[in-house]
Amino acid sequence: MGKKKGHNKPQPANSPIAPQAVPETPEKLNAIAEQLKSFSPKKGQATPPSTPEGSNSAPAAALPLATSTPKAQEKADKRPAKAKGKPEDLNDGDGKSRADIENERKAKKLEKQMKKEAATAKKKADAAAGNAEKPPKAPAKEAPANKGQKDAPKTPQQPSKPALKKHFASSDSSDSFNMTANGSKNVSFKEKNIQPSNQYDLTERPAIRVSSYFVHATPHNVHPAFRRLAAKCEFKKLNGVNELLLAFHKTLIEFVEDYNPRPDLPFSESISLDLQPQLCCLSDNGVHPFPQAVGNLIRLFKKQIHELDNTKEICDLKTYLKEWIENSAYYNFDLAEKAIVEFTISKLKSMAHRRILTYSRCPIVEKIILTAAEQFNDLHVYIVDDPNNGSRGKTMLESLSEASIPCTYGHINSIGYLVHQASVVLLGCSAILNTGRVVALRGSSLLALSAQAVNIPVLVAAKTCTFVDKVRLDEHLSTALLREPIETIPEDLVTALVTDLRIVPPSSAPAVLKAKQLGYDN
Amino acid sequence: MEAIKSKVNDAGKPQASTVQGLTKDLSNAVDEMMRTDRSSATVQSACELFLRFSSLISQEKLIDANFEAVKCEYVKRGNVFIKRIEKSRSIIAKCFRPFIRSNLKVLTHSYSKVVLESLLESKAHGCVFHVFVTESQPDNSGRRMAEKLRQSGIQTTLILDSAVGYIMESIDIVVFGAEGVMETGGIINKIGTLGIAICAKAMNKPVYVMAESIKFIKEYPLNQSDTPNKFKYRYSTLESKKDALDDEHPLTDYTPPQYLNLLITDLGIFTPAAVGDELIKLYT
Repeated sequence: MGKKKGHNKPQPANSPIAPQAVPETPEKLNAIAEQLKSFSPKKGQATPPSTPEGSNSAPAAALPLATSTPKAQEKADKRPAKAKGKPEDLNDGDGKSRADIENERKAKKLEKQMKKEAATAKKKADAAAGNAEKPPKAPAKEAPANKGQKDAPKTPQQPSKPALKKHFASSDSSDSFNMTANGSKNVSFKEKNIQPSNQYDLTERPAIRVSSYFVHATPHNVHPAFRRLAAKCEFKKLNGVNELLLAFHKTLIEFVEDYNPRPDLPFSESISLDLQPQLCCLSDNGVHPFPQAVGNLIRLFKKQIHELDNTKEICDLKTYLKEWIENSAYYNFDLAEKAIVEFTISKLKSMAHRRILTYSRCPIVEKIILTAAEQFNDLHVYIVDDPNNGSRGKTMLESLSEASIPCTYGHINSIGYLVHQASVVLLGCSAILNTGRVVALRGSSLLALSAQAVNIPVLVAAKTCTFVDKVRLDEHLSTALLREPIETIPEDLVTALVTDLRIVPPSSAPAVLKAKQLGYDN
Repeated sequence: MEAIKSKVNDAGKPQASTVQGLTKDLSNAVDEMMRTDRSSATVQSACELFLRFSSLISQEKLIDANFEAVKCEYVKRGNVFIKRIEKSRSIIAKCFRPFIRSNLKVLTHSYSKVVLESLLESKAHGCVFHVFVTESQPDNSGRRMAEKLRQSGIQTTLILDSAVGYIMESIDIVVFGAEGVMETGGIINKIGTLGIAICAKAMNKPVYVMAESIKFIKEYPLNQSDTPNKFKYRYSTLESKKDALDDEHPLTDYTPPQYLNLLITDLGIFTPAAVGDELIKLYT
């Protein structure tokens, strides 16, 4: 059975001579169905709810992954809760017995899938699969233990996901974790070119599997708030790191509030243990790294948990954690943005002509411009946008026009013309690396480069919480929650980073890291 | 330097009776000095740093009810500060010695006491080198520099400001003083510095800047027009021609950090990128 879902494969099936290729066996039919699915990645996003029979690996393999995998994972994860089946029992008949509820066809398809995956798993037998079999057994036992505790807060969520339940009923025989492992491996075959193009980003996974601690995420230990976060990201309701961070803060607060610690462990240990599955669920067991700034937040949160004084009352500890999260949100959002706006305006004040060139939509840049417009009359904004990446510049254009600021809007092709008109470039960013490189939306470096060519300063609005202690960013790895394509701007193209501490040259990024103790060794 | 000394004397005068009063008096003295025409970036930064330094008296001593004792503390701190900056020029001269080899051709701009002292020190240690000094109009201060250098036996040539491009190919290193060092790592120096620095960069000649740490200024200019006017013009000019500054010739220009190789200060030898951090350490 061909495992390859490469882009080359679908063509023969879809050729005009297709009628000859009508499969005789249901197996071939399934294979072709999968190929068709893999061939139309965009549609895949809409299909998970409607085609639950598409087993884990098919959508996992074929569809733009970040969106479907958290859900697919959850579906997969729910299964072991029902069946305590061992990973080897991939082909047992449990699926058929419950097919009364589900379509016969769906069940059969699933079985075919499982067989295939079992075949590959056994064929390949690589480290990942080898390890995978062991830990899931342990957490599988844990899962029923968790079940009792988490049931109370989780039950309100169950009725809202009936589609998922139905699916689980039919195909709970396989170990979900194995499915994921195999699903991922299926995908790795697809990787012919690891190129940082927009299309590829959405379907890519690293060819080498990043080994990490695998924790079994079941519906009973994943808080609904995290799933809601994943869903929002999936449906593009959260655009950009800023909104994501804010939403993440809220999610963490909800999690802490609802959390009931395990009776046998001290509070800090138990909460950190139970934080793991949530994060694994979001990041797909470490395959997709978190966006940098979110990673910072998680690390600091874990540090706080670590430093908790376990002798205090549980509700005290919870309030402490919640307060810490709220403070972090306040400092990193309200106050930081005010500071950045102030610093930038002090720089704009000394300019003769205030013609700002900016790229797509960054909420901080928008705030800066709106505040500046109140002070200065001669402001003119040039917005450069990329139509292929969801023209978010248009939202910026609308909000600025409402404030009666004269704007000019252009696509990235017109950068050569626009950069001559502008006198300063203002960019947003999603992270700042250790060396001073700026991680920003794809297309920003074009602005920086053109600005350098015509000798105008480039200011990047960077919150200190987005400074990361990394030196290099793997540009073509998609991140766990955000799907926007990013790139790095070299530090010599950036004149200044406007942070909430002070205006800083990009080479002083390590100093900011030290000041904020965001380094890894802290 | 003299500015600082006068301020310490001010602190000694028994006029104020509270710490706040004292700081207010000191700031008034600073303002007075800034109002003179000899004010420049150096004086301003020096005064700022002096104020900060002297205020860093330990808590117990501040709470002391006896104000006279507190004032003595201030004066003591002031003296310490002065001693440190008196030494800074010699520290810089020592740091600079390894950069001068024999038969080197050095280009410098206008009159800078730090550069003068460093070159004299190197000569005193037996290095033979040739110095080219620009005339540096409008005040012809290059001429003073050339005379002083000749007096101590260093081979010196006075060149026109416009001849820098011509002479650059035969130069080995370029040395500047600085009136102010900015947070970016760039410097404010006599007008004409930027042109020389760009020429040196184009011909791959190293550019070294010598500046004492009191010249560090907490400003972040993005370009020439972003540099505050108080550094570019004399105080009297600013007062008299507030609106028509376009006709005035600026006295200084800002050289961005990408044209500088190293900054030699009494705190050490830094790349322009590192200066910002050092500055912050000074000011906190």
